[in-house]
Order: sequence, then structure tokens, then C-alpha cells
Amino acid sequence: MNRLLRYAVSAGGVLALGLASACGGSSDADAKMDPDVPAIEVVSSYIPEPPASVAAAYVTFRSRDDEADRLLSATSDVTDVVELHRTRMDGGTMSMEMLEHFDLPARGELVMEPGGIT
Amino acid sequence: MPSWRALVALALLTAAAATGCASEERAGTGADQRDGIRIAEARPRPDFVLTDTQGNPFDFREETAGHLTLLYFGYTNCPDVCPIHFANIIGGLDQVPDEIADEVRVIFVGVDPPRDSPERIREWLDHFDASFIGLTGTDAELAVAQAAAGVPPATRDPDPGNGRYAVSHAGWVLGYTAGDEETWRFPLGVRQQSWARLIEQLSEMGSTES
Repeated sequence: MNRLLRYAVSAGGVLALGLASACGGSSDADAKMDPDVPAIEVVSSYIPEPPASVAAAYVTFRSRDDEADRLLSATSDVTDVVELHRTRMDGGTMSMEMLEHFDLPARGELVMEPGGIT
Repeated sequence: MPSWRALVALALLTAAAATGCASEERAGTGADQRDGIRIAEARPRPDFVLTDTQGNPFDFREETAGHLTLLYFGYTNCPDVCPIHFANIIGGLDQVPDEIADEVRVIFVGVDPPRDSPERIREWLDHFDASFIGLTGTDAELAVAQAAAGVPPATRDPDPGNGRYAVSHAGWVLGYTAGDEETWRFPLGVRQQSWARLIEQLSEMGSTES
């Protein structure tokens, strides 16, 4: 089961984010929900004006679903390449780690923040 | 000036751990823990020579002596932490009186020479402030500079063949008061107001040449 969320981000850009259920999905969970309220919402998103040809986009997802989910990929109409990265601090060194997916916990949030700080 | 959309070639999503209460913890952390850390034993500012964005040799110790100096080792393709640091620094400098801000020297060292050309560093810094000084050099020169500054050496991830690779580098901004009375480390997350307060406070130390 795939869900597709589409929403506008700053400056008119649009990211289309495909979310695939990690656990095969459950029609029971969907049936219990208010159809007017999406199971997964984007509660905030922004892209700081980048000083170079790379930019960071920060998005927060909130799930009402009883099942965990995963963000697998993202696309944008301002670039052909969107990657999922985690920023890590290790002994004074900052590094970027590309991930295959981000986890969205059941009834929880996936929070992307500058510097990976939470 | 092209619009930012024209400049975007690669957008990155940076993830933090996904927890529901993360924002509350962050809010409760308090500003103090996100301020700089004064290194107990002050060190003289490091002695190294790199190349500035005009292509001229730049003797760091000599050129910045007598000025409150902020030194950062980053790279221009850095999507997350480098722009955050610099946006916060300029945000802080904008809040202090000009006579103080004008005496501060802000130095960005590009540690990714294959992509951090002097021109590109200049362009990157001009996005924040034209007075910021950009330096780079060969890998060997950069290694000397980083060792002199006491930061972990930057390492480039392997290039997958498309020029898109990340660079690991020191996460903090180093600060030296005008007369090297104090040495500071500023971690990611120092906010603009904290920068303004710290810059004013540290500018009172030592004699500043003008």
C-alpha cells in the first residue's frame, strides 16, 4: 500500500514525497480513521535559502497511524536529486550520512531539523 | 543575482531521531548549553598560511592579530551545518554596534579543494557578508592548518562518480579574542542572540587595533 503526499514548500517549490508502508499496511487501521484527517501529515517544512548549489529541506511528519511507516524517497521540481541524510556529530567532527529511509513511528513524528538536533 | 531556485542542484533532507517529544526537550535545554565553550587554557591563535579568495597568500596569525576572530573549517557543498553556523554568525553580528562588528574577523576555510575553489568560496561567503574572509589550499596545507588549530582533520567521502559526496569536518567555530586572552569553541546551535552577546562580551577583552 502506498500513500502519496503532495504539498507546497517555500518559494513555490513542490516536493512529492512517496511513503510506503513498512509493514504491509492494514485496512483496519484506515477504517478507524476519520477520512477527513490524513493518517500522515506534514506539519512543517522549509528550505533555508542556500548559499550554494546544495540545499537542505527540513520536513516534519506526524502520523496518526497505528503502524510505523517509512519515508523512502522524495522528489522536487527544482532539482533532479533529493537524498535523505542524517547529520552526525562524532568527537567534534560533523558528518553527513546518506540513509535509505527515515522511520516514521506509529503515532509519532519524524522530525528533520538543522544539524540533526532534536 | 540569480534566484536560489536556479542554483539548486541537490536538495538534501537532514533527519534527526524521530521522537514525539524532541521539540520539548530542545526548548527546555536552555540557551546556556548552546553557547560557546571557553577552552580552559587559552591558546595563541594558530599559525598557518593558506590562499585567500583573491588568490593571495594569507597568513592567518599575522592578518587577524588584534581582532576578535572566528575561524571555521567547512565546505561550500555543505548543505546543513555550515550555512547554519554562518547564518547565525551574521545574524549575531547584525545585532551588535558597527564599531564592534567591524573589528571582528570571520574566516571560512574550505576543506574540500576539488570543489572549494577561491571563486566558489567567495560566492558562498558573499551570500552572508562580503567582509568574511575565505581561505583554501592544498590538502597538505589544509592538514597543517587544521592541526595548528587543533581540530580533527576533514575527510572526504568517496566520490560516487558524480561529484556528489559529503565531507566530514570539525563541527565547531573557533574563537580567539583580540589578544588571544581566551580561546572558545562554538558548537552548532549557538543562536543569533547568543552570538551577539558573546561577540560584544569577547570584544571587550584585550586591545583591539583599529
